[in-house]
Amino acid sequence: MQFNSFEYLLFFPIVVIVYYLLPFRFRWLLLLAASYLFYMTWNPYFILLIMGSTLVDFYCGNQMAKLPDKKQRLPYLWISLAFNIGLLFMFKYFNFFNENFATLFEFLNLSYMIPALDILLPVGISFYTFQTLSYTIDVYYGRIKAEKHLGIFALFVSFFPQLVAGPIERAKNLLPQLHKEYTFDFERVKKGVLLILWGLFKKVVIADKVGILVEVIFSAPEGLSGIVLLAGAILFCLQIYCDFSGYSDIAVGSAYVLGIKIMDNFRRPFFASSMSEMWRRWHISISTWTNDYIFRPVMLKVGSKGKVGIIYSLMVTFVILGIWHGANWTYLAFGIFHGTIVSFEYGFQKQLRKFHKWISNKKLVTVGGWCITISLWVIGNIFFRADSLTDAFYIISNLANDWTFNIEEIKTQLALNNEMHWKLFNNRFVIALSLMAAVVMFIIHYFQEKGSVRAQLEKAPRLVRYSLYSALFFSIVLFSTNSNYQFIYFQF
Amino acid sequence: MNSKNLMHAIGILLLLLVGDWGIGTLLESSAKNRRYDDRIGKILNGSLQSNQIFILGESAASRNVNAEILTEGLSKESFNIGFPGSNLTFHEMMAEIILDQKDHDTEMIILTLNERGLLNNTKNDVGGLSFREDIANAYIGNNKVLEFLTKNTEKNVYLSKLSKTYRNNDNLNQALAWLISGTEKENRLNKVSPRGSMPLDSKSITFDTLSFDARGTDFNPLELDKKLESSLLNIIKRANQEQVKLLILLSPEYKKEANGFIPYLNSLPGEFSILDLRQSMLEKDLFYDKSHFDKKGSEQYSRLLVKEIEKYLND
Repeated sequence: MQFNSFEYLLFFPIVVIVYYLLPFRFRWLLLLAASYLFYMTWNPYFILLIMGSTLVDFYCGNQMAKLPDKKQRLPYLWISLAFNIGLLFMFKYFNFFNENFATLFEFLNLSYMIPALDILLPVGISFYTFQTLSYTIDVYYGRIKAEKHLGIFALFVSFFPQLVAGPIERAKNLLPQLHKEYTFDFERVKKGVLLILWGLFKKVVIADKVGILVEVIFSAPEGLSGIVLLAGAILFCLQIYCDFSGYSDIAVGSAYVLGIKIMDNFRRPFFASSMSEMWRRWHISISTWTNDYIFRPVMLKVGSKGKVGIIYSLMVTFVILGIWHGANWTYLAFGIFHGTIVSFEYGFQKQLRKFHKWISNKKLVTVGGWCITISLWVIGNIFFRADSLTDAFYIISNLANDWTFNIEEIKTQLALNNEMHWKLFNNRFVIALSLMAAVVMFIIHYFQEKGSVRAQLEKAPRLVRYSLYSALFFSIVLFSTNSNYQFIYFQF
Repeated sequence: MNSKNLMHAIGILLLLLVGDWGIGTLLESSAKNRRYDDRIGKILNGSLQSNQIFILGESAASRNVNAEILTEGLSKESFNIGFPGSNLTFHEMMAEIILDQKDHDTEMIILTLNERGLLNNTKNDVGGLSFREDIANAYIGNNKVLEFLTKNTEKNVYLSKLSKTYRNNDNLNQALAWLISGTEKENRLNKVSPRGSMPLDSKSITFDTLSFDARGTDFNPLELDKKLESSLLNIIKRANQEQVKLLILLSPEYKKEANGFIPYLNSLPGEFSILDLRQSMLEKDLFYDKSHFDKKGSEQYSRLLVKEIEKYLND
């Protein structure tokens, strides 16, 4: 069941109504049943993996809680790590490694007999395994107490608003909220619904339509001019931002309607003026997760090695972050690319600061930093989107070629594939409108950077507010066309 | 929720209802106005119900069959509602909307068909036969068209009935195009004669390399697309119910005929006739490309059709 589907449009209000009508003691049961049902609409069998992960981590957590000494707790941590990482490896990475080993063995003229696994990738596996892993690690370090209620713990692992594509929540934040009773609060529900609408706007109005152009460009990059390739790369950044942050907004909004506050996953990342800042604003739940559970532990191990140790920790973190997205060389390259840039920023921070002082114009430093950050971000995302490393390098190496802007030539270049051309032609005005909507979104983001847009909106006359809400609603209805595009991050 | 909040909720609901109706109506009328070829609109408003013969099919119908010649030769008002690139499900929809018209005078439906029209699109070597939602969308206000669109696309039937804006949202691009540049300009894909035919004035760019394909193929019923077959069966059934004669026309193509197609058609239930002209008029100069006649060829072919169809009309 997708957030942008008719099924969710029925499912969510029913869950909300029954949730507020039910006595508090039964609510966890309703949310758990709803979460399992939500997940089972993709593949009913894969719910067994979530249940397995839940039982193993619940058991390990409670066993660790009984033991005062970290050393004694360690075997249970290993059980949890082995189970969750093992699951992730089997379903997500086994075939990738197997395929590459087979190629290597073939190259070395050695026989290799291990067959590929014929399995599907369970939706959301990277998200819920990381979420539940953080729980056992936190219990191990004594940062949180083990959850005693199996039902609530199962709900923590599978809470439907953030089950399949995050935000990856921490037990410290989510578990206590699942124990609390929430009464129906009109203002809170309104705020949640508006956030859902805003998320849908980003997904349906911008990401899906811009995605048509991106698909045309990335599906056959050979022969396209530099300016078209650059446009494709920039538009992909817009698409993935609107797709994923749109999903996150719907997730946060849905949870908020139920009274539960889950973490924000994006904080207007395109206003970042350094790559480090970008990662503090982009996919916050995974960047803070990797910071807490990969970067810090690795750094503790190599801490004595100073700057080199930190750069090493950063590289390890970003490589893992890259391949967390998927078993593909392109994601590994994405991780290495970002790791290198963040390491550079760290390694040369003193020199950069001196350089900024030398420029002595704060605005110029910010704008310059922004330009460099966005340019690097665009290049990094080419690795993320390209079908292969060959395509990615082809696109990057041709970005600077042929910048003559001839609209007729661009049209001819894009008409390489008939079906794509047809899709593009039949959506040309809608795509233009969608790009205008993106401009509106960035203007709103600009004002959000300055202060709360919501607070300003609340002060506006009712007619203005209602008109804006209606415009938001109708733009979603208008753009919810026949093709139901899946959220990009569902594949992870 | 207090009464003030309830009033606000009712207020915004009313605003949404009015807005939904207004936007939906605007989209619907703009998309219709945008269309240069409004044959479906004419069927739906009843202005074609006096026709006695309708020609249905893909480009083999629209390009090859000249309805003016049929009208004159058979003394029966004929109209061509073939659409290039459309599949059997689209033809099924067209047959339904013709036969749904009150007091229609339809006596015969001629359905052009070839074996590829029953195969799955991916196995179809001409490619691209599909349910032409881009054409149907402008007429989604009609319940029959809506029914077909929701069955054959991802459009949700319940939401379509609940919201006029949602029902018409696939018309947004056409509505914007109409606002910007008005009705479509005449082109090769929308230029229709007064009786709906779309003859091809020139030769295809590949015409010079066109040669007779003598290989021949075997029609394999195991490769049938069940959904397309069901559409064919529904057309036969509906024509039988309305006591309208159905003539399945196998058009000439500049290639050897496929084996096994006629026995398959003969095995289908229901009353219909088959007119097999696949190996007629195989003169290269009459063709536009492998599968279509040019204007001269279509006129000559239509005169041949007049002679053949007379037999079935008098039958």
